[in-house]
Formats: sequence, C-alpha cells, structure tokens
Amino acid sequence: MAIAINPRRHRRVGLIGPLVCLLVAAGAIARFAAAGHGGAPRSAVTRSADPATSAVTEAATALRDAIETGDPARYAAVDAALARAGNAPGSSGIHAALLLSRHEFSAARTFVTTELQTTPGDRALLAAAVDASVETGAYDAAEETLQQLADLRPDARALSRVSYLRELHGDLTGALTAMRQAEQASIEPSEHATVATFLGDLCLSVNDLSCAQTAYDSALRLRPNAVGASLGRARLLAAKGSTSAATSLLASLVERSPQPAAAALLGEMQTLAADHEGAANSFSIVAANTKLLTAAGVVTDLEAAVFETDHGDANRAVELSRAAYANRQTVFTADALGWALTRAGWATEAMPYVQEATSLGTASVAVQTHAAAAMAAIGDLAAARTLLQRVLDRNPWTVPSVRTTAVGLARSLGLDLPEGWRL
Amino acid sequence: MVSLRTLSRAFPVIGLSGLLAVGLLSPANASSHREAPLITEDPVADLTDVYAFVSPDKPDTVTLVGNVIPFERPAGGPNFYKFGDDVLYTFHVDSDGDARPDRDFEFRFTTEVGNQNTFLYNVGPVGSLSDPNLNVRQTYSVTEVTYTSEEKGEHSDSKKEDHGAVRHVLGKNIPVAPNNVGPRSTPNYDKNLAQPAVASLEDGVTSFAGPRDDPFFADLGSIFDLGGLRPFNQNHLIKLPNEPGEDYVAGSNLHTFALQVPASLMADNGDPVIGVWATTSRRATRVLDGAGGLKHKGPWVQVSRLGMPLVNEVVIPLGQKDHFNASKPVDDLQFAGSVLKPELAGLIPVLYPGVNVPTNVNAGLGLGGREDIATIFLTGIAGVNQPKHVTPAEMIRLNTSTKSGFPNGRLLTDDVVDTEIRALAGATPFTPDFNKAPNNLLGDGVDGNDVPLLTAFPYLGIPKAGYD
Repeated sequence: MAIAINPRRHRRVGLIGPLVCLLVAAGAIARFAAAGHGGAPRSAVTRSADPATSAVTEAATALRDAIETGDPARYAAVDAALARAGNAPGSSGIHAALLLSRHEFSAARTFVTTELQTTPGDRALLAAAVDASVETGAYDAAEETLQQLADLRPDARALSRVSYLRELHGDLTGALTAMRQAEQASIEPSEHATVATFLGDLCLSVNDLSCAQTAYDSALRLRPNAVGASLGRARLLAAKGSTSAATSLLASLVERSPQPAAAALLGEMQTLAADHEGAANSFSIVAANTKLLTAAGVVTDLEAAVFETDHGDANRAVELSRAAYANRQTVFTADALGWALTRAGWATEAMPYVQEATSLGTASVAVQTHAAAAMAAIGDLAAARTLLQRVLDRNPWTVPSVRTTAVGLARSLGLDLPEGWRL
Repeated sequence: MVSLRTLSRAFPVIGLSGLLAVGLLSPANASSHREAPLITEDPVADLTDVYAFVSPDKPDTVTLVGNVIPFERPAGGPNFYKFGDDVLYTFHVDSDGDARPDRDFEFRFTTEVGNQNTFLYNVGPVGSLSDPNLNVRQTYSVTEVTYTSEEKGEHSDSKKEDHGAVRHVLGKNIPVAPNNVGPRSTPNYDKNLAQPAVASLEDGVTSFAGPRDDPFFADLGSIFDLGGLRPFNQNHLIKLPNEPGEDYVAGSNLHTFALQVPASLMADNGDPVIGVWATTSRRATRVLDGAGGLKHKGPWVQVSRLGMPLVNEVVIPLGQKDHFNASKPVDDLQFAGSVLKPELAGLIPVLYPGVNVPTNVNAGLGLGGREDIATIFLTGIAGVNQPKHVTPAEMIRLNTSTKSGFPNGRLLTDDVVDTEIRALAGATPFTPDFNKAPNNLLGDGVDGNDVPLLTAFPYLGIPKAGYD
C-alpha cells in the first residue's frame, strides 16, 4: 500500500491529491475493518462505516435473507449492494456465494480459482471453492481444499462442509458427528439455525426422529421464517405419520413462500391423499416459481429435470437430464439422467450413469432406489435386491415419489417392507 | 487514522449463513443438493482482548483476563451465549524472556442441559449457582502446564504434547457464571450468581469465567468514517465540527475467563518481568476419516492468538491475520518488517495534514525503521518492562514488581486506543521532537468505560441484563 504519499507534493495538483489520499486511507481502513472478529452485526457500529465496507455487509445480509426466505426477488438487492461494494474486502467471498446460490457452479469455480491466486488463504473463498468443486463433481479437489480449510480453522464453516462431504461418501455416522460439532461451533442465530436444519435433515436420513425434532425446533426458535427448517418440520410430521398435519403445514408454507421444493412435496402428499386437483395446483406452482427463479438468474437445470422425470413427460425428462448432465457431471446429475433413461425404458443406456451416481457410495434414498430400479429393469434382480435392501434397512423417511418407487420395487422383488413403509 | 483492532472487531462481517438456495430448490429429492453454510466468523474462539496487571488490591498477585464473543446483545435468548465446549482457552506465561511459554493455564468447558424437553435457559428464578431452575449450566476446569525441558513452548499441537510438560489440574467442575437474564430470572445477579462464581483453586490461584460488561471503549463509529477522531474533526482532511467521542462498545457484554495468580508462581526466574499472551484452539478434523471416528480426538489447532492490544490491526497486515493467529511468539521475527514500518502510521499525515510522524526511530535494536514501535510491541522498554534476556516477540510484558499501566502490562482502564495512536504519531519519550501538540493530544475522545469496574477480582463490570 502506497502510504508514503507526501501531501505537499499533491497540493500542486489541486483536488486530485487529497482524493487519492482519501482513497488510500479508505482502502486501508476498509481492509482492516474486514479483519472481522465476529459477533452479531450492530447497526450502531456499521452506521457510519466506510461506504464500500458497509455495502459488503449489506450484500451479505441481503444474500442471507434471500437464502433463508427462498425469495429470488431479493437477489436484486444483493446485486445492487455488491455493485456499490466494488473491490472492498470481503466482496469477493459474497460474490462467490451469490454465484453458488444461483447455481452458476462452473462460473463460481472459475471465479474463486482466480481470486485465490491473489488471496490464497482467504477462508471465505476456500469455502466457496469447496462448494463449487462439490457441485461440479470435482470431489477429490473438494476434499483437498476442504482439508486445507479445516487445517486453517476447524470451525463451523469447515465442519459443516466436512459433514456434507462425508454424507456424499456414504459416511452418515461421520457426517452426524461433524454436523454436531458444527452446531457446537456456531453461535450467530442464523448460522446456528442453518446448521441445526442440516443436522435435522441428517437425523431424518437415519430415521432418528427425536433428534430431527430437536434440531428443527431449535432452528425455528432462532429463525421462525427459515424455509428450510419449516420444510424439515413438515417432512418430520410426514415421517411420524401425521400426514394431514404435514400437508397443512406445507400448504401454509407454500402460501407464505411458494418454494418449488415445498410445493412439489405438497403436491406429492396431495397425490397420496387422492386430492388430484390440489396436487395439480401445487405442481403448477412448482412450474411457475421455477420460471421466477430462472428470471432471477437461478439455474434450475437439475431440479427441472428431476421434476419432469417424476411428474412429467418421460422423453422430455431425458432431454432435460442430458442437458443438466452436460453442464456438470456429479453424482446427482448422473442419478437424474440414469433415472430419466430408466423411466423412459432405456435402462441399458442408463447403466453408466447409474454406476457414476453410486460411485461415491452416497447414502441417498433416491440414488439407491433409482439404482435398484435400473438393475431390476435390466434383469439383474440380485443386485437390485442388495441395493434396495440397504435403503429398507436404514428405513429413512423420503419423499412420496421415491417411496412409491421403492415400495413397488420391494413388492415385485419379494422384499419385506419395514414398519411405516406401507403406502 | 489508525484503524485499530476496534475496527476489526466492530465489523463482524456478519454471520452469513447459507442454506444456499440449492437446498431449497430441488423439488422432490430435497436431500440431493446442499451447500454448507457460508459462515464467516468464529466469535466463540476469537480473542478480542487480553489484560495482565498487578492486582491493585493484592499486589503480590497478577490478574490475567481473556475476552471472547464481543458485542453480545444482553437479550441473547433463547440461545444464550456460552464458551465453546470444543475450544481450548489458554493463557501462556514466559518467565525468562525466551519467547517460549514456561507455564500455561488451560480452560476447558462442559455444558449440561438439565431438562432436554425445554428450550428455556431457566425454568424459574435462579437464586444460586446450584439452583435447579438453571437449565443450561456450564462448568470448567483449569489445568496448569509447566514446561521443564528444552521442548518447552512446543505447545500442545503435536505429539510432543506432553514432552517436558507437567500437567496439574488446579480445579475442576467449577461453575461458570450464568447469563444475566433479568430481575425475574436472575435477581441480585452479581451477588447471587457472579460473585459466587469466583473460585479458589490450588496453589493460591483464583479463577472466574462468565459474562461481563465489555471493558473496552473506543469511538468506532468515527474511526470507521475515514479515520475520524471527533475531538480533532477540524484537523481532518474533511472537516467537521469538533465534538466529544462516542463509545460504540458501550452496552455490550462478552465472555471472560480470568485468573488471579501469585506473582511468585510466574516470576520465578529471578526476573520480575513476565510475558503474557492467550490463545484459543480447536480440534483438528480429517475430512474423510472412514467412520467419523476422530470425534474430539484430533490434535489442537491454534486458531486465535492475542497479547498486545490492537496488534492485529496496528502492525499485522490483514493478509497475514490468519497466519499470525496460528503463529507462536518464538517465530515473531517474521513479522518484524510490519512492526518497523506500521502502515497505519503513514496514514496520520494523510488524514491530518500538518501532523507529521517519524519514519525512522533508533532505539538501539539495529533494525532500522520504527524501532520505538518494535520496542513497545516486541521487547518491552528497558528499565521498565523488558526482561533481562529478551528474544523479540509479541506479548504483553509486565513488570510484576511495580504498578501496571500500558504498555507495562495492560489494565482494564488503560486507554490503549489513545496510547497507540500517540505512539504511532511518535508522541513518546523515544522521539522528543514529535512528543508535542498535536501529536501527544491525539485520541478518539473516549477515555473510559461506560460501566463502573469492580474493586476486586474479576474487576470487570456487571454484565447488562437482557431486561434492561
């Protein structure tokens, strides 16, 4: 930093000198301001801060709100604040998070790779690099970067990602351990609520309903409007067999915030209850809001493909899944394409994608059920039984569309269904 | 000028969390995609201030204070603040000036929840530390680690953990003072719940852990605004009317861990000068360990280090902050360049035209640049708080045989913002030519804490109640 500016020299060039000085000073102060010791944001403190630094804080708050409420209209505020933030410290981390939030994963990966060349130890950028690697299927790179992040500081930021990477690799016990550690290490209410929601989701996936209940309750106490935790609570109600309570919670959630995820689940619950009119309405909300998300710059290729496979036209589903897989080769895009091909009657063509989807050993009910269905479709009934039995043994709650497939398949393969899996 | 440590602590860049939209979008398979949260801060493990001083009421003892979790809002419920059960909090003491600890004091915390079926912090008025109405209670242990061999100072971050170290538990199951909820939940807070949390441990050591008022004071709002010092607004490049400073840290609590230790226990090498710093550490984690078997078993990773106030802001560049937090005093010569040419000193004449500051000060170190700043931050001042044999390293240097006052130790009442601004401006005995007005008058206009301090250990003021 060029601090050795001689004010006298600048006096000769009129206003320019002092302006340069101010920019230098503002830059230095902003850099130090961003050193950040934590705690809750205090408007009293941020009020008269350097404008660019305030804009970074604003962008971060706006992005957090967009994510927490699932309202894509709020991205505009993030864009505006980031524009004002310029190159202020911290802005690149928010920019990376925004790209990830809009599912522009490849762009995010390129961006963080470039930024990390200038600031190699930036933990916000390292975290974004992990996320971008995971979402583009670069799992080895994700592990390497995440280990680097965890070695720098094994805090909630690192531990929650450790949990997800373990989950992707099928280590649910390790994932639970890491997410509990992340919960211990998160103190700011919205962080804590986010981590608690993830913990609840993990508890559901190992069928530990009381653990899920505690986790979602704690998230909603801290952030009553958090969509993810509300959705979790609805799934928990469904897992407990309180179908009508789950349906009404989802209906009120969709009314408040028409999330595609919530609307799709609502539609599936309504289908189960033979409320076909309600289901059609819910599915139309999914379609309409997916368009809104696209308009707000969110890439929904994978989500649209999965939805089309479960609720739409088989050939169109293959088309959308191929496009999603072309964008990025992950266990989930491979699963989507494999499942779409299986549904369309091309199980043989689906095989390489089924293998790719199961290559990490991901303990996902959907991935494992789809793989079992594909194996059954090509006539490898022994493999199908083995795969499906793993899901049934774990006995987790899952969305009705996947469960319908699993139950139908179990019956045709002659497998016993666990308690609660009767539809 | 001089954005100080205060700056960094004032900008909590936000606890940004991210249930990134990914997780919300995937229609049917809600568990398919999910990104981990974008968490930016770790306040439970981030030290904001360390104090070390000869106890005014017990001059044969030294008080050590470490603070974490700044800007606690008193009404923190239902999720009240607490120490991290997964964090190791440590005071390090160098008794012979070789930049390695001769003695550590480690704090470890454990949380117990009485009734798992309620989210309430307390289920009725809490009249004492053992009151069953207190539903969330934390206890701690204090362990003294004495290094006896040449391996001393290797810190507990490797297989050498116990090499040459003698561990002695000074006390365990000591109650942490609960949060000050309000007059219904925690009536007569200080008398009933804070004072009884002052514990007598072995070896004549006294301890306290719990929430207190943040004793730090500074005009962050003005300093943020292009280095403004309200009393000097007319001297700033962009002029505003002069006005008194405003304490932007007023009204917030934090969590304190503190010890009162007989001076004879620490200044035991025939030299009354000791060096003090604190660190926090978290357990290392392997990303993929096969079976999640490393729970709380990994070695410790040092994540925060603090000795002298504002060091991370005044002399360590932002890009090196994480590196500094992971470093050890014995390796501090790597930071000497930043100390000898403090970037912020150069801003003073820019923002306050006419205020000139020195660029080279010879203090006999043979290093060049601002040797006065290096003396204050790295070696202590000869005849005041410099050890007989000193290896330059950043820590609080305290002469246990005289009255304390920054930079000889650090008292809770010391106005370190003003002192460091003036030191950067050369207003010290090192540079008589600069030790004059306005350099020696510079300051943020905030000269004391908003809450009275106690006259006895732990000295920090009573934390504000959520009710107030």
